[in-house]
Amino acid sequence: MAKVKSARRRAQESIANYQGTMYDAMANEYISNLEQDDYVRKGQNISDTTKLVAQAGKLIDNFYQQKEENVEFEGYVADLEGATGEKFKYEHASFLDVLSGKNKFGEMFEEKMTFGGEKVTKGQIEARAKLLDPETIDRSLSSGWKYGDETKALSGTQKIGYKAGALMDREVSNTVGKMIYEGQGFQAWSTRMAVLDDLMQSEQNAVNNWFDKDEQKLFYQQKDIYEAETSTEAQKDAASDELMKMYKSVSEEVKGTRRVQWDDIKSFIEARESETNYDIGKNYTDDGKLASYDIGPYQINTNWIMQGDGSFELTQDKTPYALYDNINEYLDTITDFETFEDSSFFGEREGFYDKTLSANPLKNIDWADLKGDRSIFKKYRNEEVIDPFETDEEGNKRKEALLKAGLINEYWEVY
Amino acid sequence: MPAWLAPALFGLQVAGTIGQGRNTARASRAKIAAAKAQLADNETARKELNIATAQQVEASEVDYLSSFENAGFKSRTLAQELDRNYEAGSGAQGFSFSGQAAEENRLGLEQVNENFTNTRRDILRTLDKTQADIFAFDLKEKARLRAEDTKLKAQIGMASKTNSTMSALGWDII
Repeated sequence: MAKVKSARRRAQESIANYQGTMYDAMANEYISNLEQDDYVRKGQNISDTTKLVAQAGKLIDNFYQQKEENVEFEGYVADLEGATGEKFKYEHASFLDVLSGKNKFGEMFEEKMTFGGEKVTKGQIEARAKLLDPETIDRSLSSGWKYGDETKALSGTQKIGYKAGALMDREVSNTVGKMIYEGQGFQAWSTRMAVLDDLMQSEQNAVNNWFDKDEQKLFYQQKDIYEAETSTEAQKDAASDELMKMYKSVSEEVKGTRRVQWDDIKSFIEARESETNYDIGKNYTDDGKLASYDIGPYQINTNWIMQGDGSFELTQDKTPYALYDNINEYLDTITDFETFEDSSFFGEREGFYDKTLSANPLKNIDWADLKGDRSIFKKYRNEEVIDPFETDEEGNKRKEALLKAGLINEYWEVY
Repeated sequence: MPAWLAPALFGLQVAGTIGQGRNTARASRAKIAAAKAQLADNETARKELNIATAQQVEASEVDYLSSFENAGFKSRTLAQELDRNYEAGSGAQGFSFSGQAAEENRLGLEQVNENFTNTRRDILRTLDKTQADIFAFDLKEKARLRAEDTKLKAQIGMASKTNSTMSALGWDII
């Protein structure tokens, strides 16, 4: 039989039950608040994600737009290069450059562009390209530059840069010019026809009688044929051959003497070749590509100081060219300055990780990239710029001229 | 604005959003762990409450018995005293007063009996009140713990919806 509860107990239980319903109500209110917060959170998530996706979409759109603009700009560069034969150079300061102290923070991602040695902006390139006559554009002559490709100087070529600078020195240029004149001959100069013309018309010729009347007559006949628009190609070739014989005869040594000595002809060459000691000319191949530079008062070709393909280092049968060696031996004594170490990479070797070195991944890491004087944090900060002409006004003028021509970079390294 | 800035800012924003999602997920996991621990504590509290209730009921019954015995002892002592006085009085005064003395003794005993009955009722009422309070407290506490459990379970359920970075960001549908 069930135990009968007292009235008091029933009353107390009722109060407790009432209290219990209050607790339940409070719990339900709490749950409802939680659910409400959850809906708000979900809404916020949807809103945030939508914003993020929209932003990503805009970014992708901008990216493609930027890419299109870059491709367009590459086209302008190609057009300009194709029409003028000049080369476009592009450099930009990377985050790593700033980190290593090569560039200042404010220069981060800064783009530097030069065209034919002249500092230009993107706008200038675009404007110039748009003003071109389409008939003059030959895109096959362009370098095929792609946006972002940096034009980097060749590491370890500082010595060649110094030699290029030295060719602007009158005395050095005179010595090298004489070596070329006597070694290769007068025909080495592209202005030979004009120089010979000047020489024949000169008072010195009247005094020294380098060329008699018959030779002068022959020269002007051949010159006229060569220059006449009405001449056929065959006639021009024949005239060219005749003229070439005459050029060779100018510096040719016969029985120990030359018809015209270097000291007698050099002022004529200089007058035709340059206006100042700092003149830099450019030579192009038949298809319009930049082949070499001419430097200084006698416009000495840079192939005399460059190395490898295209230079005069080797003869056609791949044997050392004695004249080239002699010139460089001489120039080596003139440019006996301290040079850079190879600075094309950070650390001990190129790249940060080389998986071919060891099975141990830790041994494949070039730790010198991260610590030591060649690390990405210190390399440029600790490195004093080696510039033998830093305080030399004359040296700086030469450097300026070479920089402007786009032959060297700020560290005298050649491109 | 340099071309790299927009992607960099977007990258930062994505990183920030994901970071926020990770923090939310961490907080949710912590909330779940805390709620589970509290549920376990509530379970322990419930067991303790059962024990406490049983012990309090037992203690109230002990109190009741003790009070009842005291009241009984007092009433018996009083009745015995009345009897002793009556017997002594009737012997000394002779038979002529025995009827009155007997009547007085009866009335005295009735009074003692009535007092005992009242005291017993009071003691029983006290027991009832005490036990009603104990059971009411037990009920209230159990109701509170049950409501607390409901809240904690709801909390766990909600926090479970955001206990991973992806779910916290609402990206768990991908």
